[in-house]
Amino acid sequence: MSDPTAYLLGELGPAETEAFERAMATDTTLRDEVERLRPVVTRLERLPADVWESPEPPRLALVG
Amino acid sequence: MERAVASRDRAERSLAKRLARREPDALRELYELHGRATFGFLVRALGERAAAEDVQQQVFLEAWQRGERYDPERGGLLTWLLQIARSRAIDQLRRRVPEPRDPASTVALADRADESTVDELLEHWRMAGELALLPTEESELLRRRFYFGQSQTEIAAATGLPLGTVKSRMVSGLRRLREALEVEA
Repeated sequence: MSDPTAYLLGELGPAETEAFERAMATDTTLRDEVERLRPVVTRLERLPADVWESPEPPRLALVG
Repeated sequence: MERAVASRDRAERSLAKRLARREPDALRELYELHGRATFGFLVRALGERAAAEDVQQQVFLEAWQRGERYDPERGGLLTWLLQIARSRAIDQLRRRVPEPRDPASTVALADRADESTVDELLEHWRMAGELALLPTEESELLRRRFYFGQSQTEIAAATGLPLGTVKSRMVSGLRRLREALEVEA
């Protein structure tokens, strides 16, 4: 079964990666899905750690 | 997924209308949704919590006063708020430039290079804001993968979820983020 997330997240072994890429070459739907999600994965991979540890904002003075 | 985005879009437009009518609950809701992203951005852009707290209040005061000027065709409320935060942060940084007793030591804090750093921060915090809007079960998996560096198999073991569920939530979260970022583009 084709598994775009495992491929995108780099969790496939060499043989599985090769098989996945062969499947992508003939399956345009699968290829489109991977190409759509790839930039999101890249952006998430580049997020600095502090973005995941966002500080608690202060109370909003306007609404009390 | 399209339906989820359309539904979020409707909710945003409704919130924007209430904000334009200056309903206090709308401001509170806006703050609940996006206050964490704008504050995170401000703390990083300004480098100190106290200044960020002041500017955070200014950002939401401005949103409250200018709510009727928000145009949903030009992007989501998160992007709008972050743009206000960006402008106020740059104002603050410019004001901070010290009197040039020794011109060589004066740092031009708001020159073009600093603005591009601010813009990079803005993009990071926009992603943080979008992550916060995902269903918790999806954002939690993305956190485990991209913050803790766990593989999907490790996530399944740590959470007790079947691996298939981890994968389907992961792909659903990624698709939702993609849709949200497209709407904002």
